[in-house]
Amino acid sequence: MTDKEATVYIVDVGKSMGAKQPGRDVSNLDWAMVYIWDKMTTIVALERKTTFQAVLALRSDHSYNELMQDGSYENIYVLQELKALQRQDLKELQRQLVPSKSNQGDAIDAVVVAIDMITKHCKKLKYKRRIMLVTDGRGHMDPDQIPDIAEKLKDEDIELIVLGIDFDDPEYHFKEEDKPEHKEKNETLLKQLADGSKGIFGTLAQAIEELGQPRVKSTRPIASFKGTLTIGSPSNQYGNSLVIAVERYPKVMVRKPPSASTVRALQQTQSSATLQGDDAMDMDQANGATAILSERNYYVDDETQPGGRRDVDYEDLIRGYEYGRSVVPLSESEQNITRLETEPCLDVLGFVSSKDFPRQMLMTTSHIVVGAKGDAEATMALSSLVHALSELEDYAVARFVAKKDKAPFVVLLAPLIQPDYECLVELELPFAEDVRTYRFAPLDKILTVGGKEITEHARLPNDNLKQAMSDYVDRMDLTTFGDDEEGNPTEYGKIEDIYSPLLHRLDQVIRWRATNDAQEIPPPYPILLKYANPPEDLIAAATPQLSALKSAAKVEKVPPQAKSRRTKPTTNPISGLDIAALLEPASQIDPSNSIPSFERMVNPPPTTDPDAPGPDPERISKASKSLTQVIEKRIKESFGSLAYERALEEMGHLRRRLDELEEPRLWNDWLESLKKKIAADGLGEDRFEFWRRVRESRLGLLFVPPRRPAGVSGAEVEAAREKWLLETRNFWSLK
Amino acid sequence: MTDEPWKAEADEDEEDLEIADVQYKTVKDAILFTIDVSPSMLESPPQVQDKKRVKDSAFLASLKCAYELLTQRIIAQPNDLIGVLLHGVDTRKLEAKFGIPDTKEIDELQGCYLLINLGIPSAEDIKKLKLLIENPDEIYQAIIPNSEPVSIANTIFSAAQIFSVRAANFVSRRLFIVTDNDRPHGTDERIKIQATQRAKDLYDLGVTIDLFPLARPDEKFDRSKFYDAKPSDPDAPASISQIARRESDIHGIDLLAYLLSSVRSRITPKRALFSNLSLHIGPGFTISVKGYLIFKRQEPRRTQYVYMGHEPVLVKSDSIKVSGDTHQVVERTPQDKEEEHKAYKFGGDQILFTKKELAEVKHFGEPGITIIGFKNITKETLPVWANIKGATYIYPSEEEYVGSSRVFSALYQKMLKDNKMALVWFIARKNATPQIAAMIPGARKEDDTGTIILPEGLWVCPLPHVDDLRQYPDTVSVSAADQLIDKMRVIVQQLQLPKGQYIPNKYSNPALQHHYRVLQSMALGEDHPEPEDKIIPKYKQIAKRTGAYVQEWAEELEAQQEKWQANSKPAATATKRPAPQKSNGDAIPTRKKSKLVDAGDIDEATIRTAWEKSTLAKLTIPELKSFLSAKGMSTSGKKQELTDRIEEYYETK
Repeated sequence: MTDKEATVYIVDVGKSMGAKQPGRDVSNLDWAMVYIWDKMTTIVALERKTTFQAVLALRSDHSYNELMQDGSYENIYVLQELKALQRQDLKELQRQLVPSKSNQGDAIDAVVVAIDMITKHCKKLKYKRRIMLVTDGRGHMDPDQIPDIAEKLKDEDIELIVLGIDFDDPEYHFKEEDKPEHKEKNETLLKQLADGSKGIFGTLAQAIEELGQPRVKSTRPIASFKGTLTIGSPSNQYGNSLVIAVERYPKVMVRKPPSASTVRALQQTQSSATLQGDDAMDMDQANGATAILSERNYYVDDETQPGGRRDVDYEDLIRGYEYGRSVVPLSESEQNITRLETEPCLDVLGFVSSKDFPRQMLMTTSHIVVGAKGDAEATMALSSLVHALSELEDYAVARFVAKKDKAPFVVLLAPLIQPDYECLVELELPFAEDVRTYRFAPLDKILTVGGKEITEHARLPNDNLKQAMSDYVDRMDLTTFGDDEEGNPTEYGKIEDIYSPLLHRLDQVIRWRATNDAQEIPPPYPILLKYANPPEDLIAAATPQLSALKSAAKVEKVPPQAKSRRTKPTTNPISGLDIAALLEPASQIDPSNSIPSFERMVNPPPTTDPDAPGPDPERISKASKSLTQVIEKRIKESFGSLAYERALEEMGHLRRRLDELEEPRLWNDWLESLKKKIAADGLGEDRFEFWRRVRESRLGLLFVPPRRPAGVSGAEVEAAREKWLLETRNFWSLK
Repeated sequence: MTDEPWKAEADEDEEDLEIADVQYKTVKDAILFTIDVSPSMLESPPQVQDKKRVKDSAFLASLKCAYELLTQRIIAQPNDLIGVLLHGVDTRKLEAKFGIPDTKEIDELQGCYLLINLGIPSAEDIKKLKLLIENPDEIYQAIIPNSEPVSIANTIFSAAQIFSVRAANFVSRRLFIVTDNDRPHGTDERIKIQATQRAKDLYDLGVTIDLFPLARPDEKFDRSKFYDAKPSDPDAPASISQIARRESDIHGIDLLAYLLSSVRSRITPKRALFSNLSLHIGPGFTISVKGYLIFKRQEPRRTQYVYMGHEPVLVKSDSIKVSGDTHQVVERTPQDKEEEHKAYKFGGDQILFTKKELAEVKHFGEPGITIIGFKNITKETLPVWANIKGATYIYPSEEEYVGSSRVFSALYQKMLKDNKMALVWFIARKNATPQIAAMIPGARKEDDTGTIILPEGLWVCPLPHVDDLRQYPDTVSVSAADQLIDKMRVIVQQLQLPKGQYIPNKYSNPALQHHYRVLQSMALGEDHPEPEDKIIPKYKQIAKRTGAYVQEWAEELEAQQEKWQANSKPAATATKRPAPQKSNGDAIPTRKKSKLVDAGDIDEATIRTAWEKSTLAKLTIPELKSFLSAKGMSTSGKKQELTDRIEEYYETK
């Protein structure tokens, strides 16, 4: 578990905090709260019961704290005692944290009150203690006892963070002009206190600027396997087995962004995302939203029942497996029958070379394997393996079972030697069953069906292109493009520098909305998008190489029109035999061979003339009419939904071909008539299901591009497309 | 493109926004495995000296291959269809034995018999095949070549109909033909034209033909006589000729091995993870690529709910949306759906966003692979641990940008030659989460049989973010001395895998295989098979090769340990947590009249009083622990255990 935490925020709410400084469009208090809310919501978002936060208002109108007595510790108001805060608490605080009418109240007093709160709450328990003071330093401060308080802070191990509004900070290069004398004095006092307690003293502007820096959560390592790494039999069956006691811990574990549920807001009138705090407080569910949950219904197909299904009770169900089309039910005692019994192990199968090891075979996140905790001998033994592998440039391949009766995997074990750490890195490798043997043509040559090798071809790069690519790749090198903390060149885009964009973006907006109800969402922090594009300086420097590459490559975008109009490539038998010449065009559709005979009807008689016209409109119209008759007949005669798939396939083919052949109207007209027939039960009773399937298969109206001899403008096409989209949407209703 | 690109998918259901990362487009595949039944196919091969050789006829080998295909497919592609068609067979005997196949809406099949109807295979189908291959005598009784030669045109036409009826709308439909007859039309040119016509029809229907030619003992299979005339997919790689070259020297058991390996390499239809994705090599310089998952963990299917009627049936389910408070069914119009919100938990409350807002938040740009720059591949730039999931193989596509192939090839060749990686920003689909990745070159790799294990090309390997890195656990800081490393080195050298390579094809997943073998035995009503785990290391062999060296290493380790123990302080106390600091009753800064009170140390009297009043539980753990440790008792365990221990202490006192 992580450490407990107690943080007390001291927020200066004095009258002067209500003012706006020149150059800022928010009041000092609002500006300070940007920082405070960010910190507070970060802690609330952890959803931990052991992170406590409290808030003190400094220079408040009234006084409320445990130390106040006889006029001392006045104008310090404990708005919130130390508690694991919830969102409701934040909302309440939000209401209370407004500028007061007072300028009375001593920041150093407030620190003492905070120390008192923390020591009473934390006692001597293990806690991370922190006081965060945000002030404009314009109130009165009494320098009495500052060294003692600093000492007390140190004794109690409390970290004091003082953030001042427009405080001078030479390191941040900020100096306020015309600073009032007493503010300057106060800054000195607070700095004295912070420095004396080894705390932090800074100016608020810098702190706010650094909010964009994502925070990385740490997780305490937990072993996922404790066992032995062996070379040879773990039971030492044949003698001289090498056995090392090891533990396995996660090295890389993907942190998932939080998941959202679907809810329906009760007050639909409230178009904004949340209700205002006050109204919501009175309701059970603060934001007035009802969750929408999923419930499962179980049924079996049953033709005798209406709707073709019969609901079954969950209690009557047993578990089973599908084996092909057959069902294998399992009785209670058979639940684990298919499980392979295994013992936990990490047994070395052999060693492989790490040079040229195909990294693309790695399938999972990585773990590390170290010697058993506190076992010096095991650690030394493992170290010898780590070093031997490293020196030989080898990896180990092992059989790994994490827990008894878990499925065994083959894993890779790679040595990792860092200045102060040695271990093996473990990742899973694929099995034979996990490999898909797809075939791809080689990239550096073209093999013809005749078995010839071609090295010069439009699909292969010429020397010019190869050289241009090589120059560009070399110019775009990142190895020394980055800067380290001292400004020395270093690798750009190290893993340690790249944050998960979605994780931190969601974290940002959730926390932001927690205190900013219905306002517009702020843009993502720049650091999250840093790696979405090549660095500007680098690409600017590579401009000559990039343009050389572009001109050598001669890449052309396929215009969208050409893509949709493209027809199927003509068939080329290996033998070069001209099939088309052998075949007779069909004069009508054979229902049992509909699509091929449609093709035969549409395509013109074979000819050797390359300029011969394509399919003429008359042929197309005749063929499609014939095919639509087949389709309608099929639907009409279909027993239940038996012939639907086939009809849909034919429709899909017809629609695609008519689009390619630029006869969309033929399709649209027929689809209209089909719809009417179905609506009027003209194709047998209740073919609505079929119509639903047509819609699901996206076999809707085709877009008819406007055509005029003089040509059409882009705007006209756009307008026509808009109209078509609307028509398509409204087309499906059968009423 | 509109100003708000996330709107592009506004009409799709919102659940689609959170698609699982690795999800295939459901491309259904149907294979009709056709075996030619000719006298020469049924003939037993000539007797050979080698006793190991099994006398399988070409037909039996083909049938065994079909059986393998069926059982494998149940594991690997449980939703895909397969059928077995026998060409040129006398159907009467078969009909008598196995019944007339259900071929509704299909014209009569002439001279061919649908042994297994195109569909998801059932246990009965498996059983039927098993019966035949285990009892070759049955084959000779039931399977007799038709007295009249049957035109291949008929069979192809029948196949077309079977596909149209049983696998309508399938994206992938393939007709596998196993034959030793390179002139199925005889000498009749008219039949040849007819057959060619039927083959063309099949092509128009989108069905591809995969030919598995077998040589007859005394003659070669000449494709040019007929089969080269069948239309083929122009995009298909030209490796068919490769198989043609090999067919001559095969028969019997080798024949089966040959068939299996060539069928296996084609069993999975090529399914792209994405196509026409933009690869941005530089600003304003884009090509298009397709992506494939070459490695994907094959898992046993999950258990399902079964309803025991008169026979077990799989239960289907659907989900309905209910309201969280009333549990009433919620009717949702598209309008309602749009108005629903997404809620995140936060501090005991929910933070709401409209769906549009959330889509906007999650939108990081259009799909594509954007190259940020290049690095040399080293242990530092691309450490082996920097992995989160399988890599995506990418291959150029000319569909979006003409010239993509040559540019891709130039990029690949350069990166391979200079061992470069590209750092890329990768958005695989619309609204997918962006992923930082290393794009690496990979050379082609074949196993000893020439089967390609790794195609050449570029691979996109997703990298972890800094958020995904975990801390190291504490360990004893001790390194092995050189002498010990030397001893270990010998052991490592003794156990090299063949060629120093890991070839996945040689390691079958034992748990997966066992799962399906048990299921098959249950489905067929057979005895359960013995578990078999082929990836257990060969311990005996290992002992033989390394035993002596391990002995030496162990002795060295012992010696080094003693040395180390002597030099280092006893007991690794570093892992122990320091005892809580004792409070020194420090002075409170008396500022004006402030009161700072310390939680003082607890004394024994307090503990005793607490025990008497049974209020031990109200004390803090450090208080309890400090008492226990003062009394020399264990301080480990939970609070309950601590208080129990104290109670015990007083009770036994």
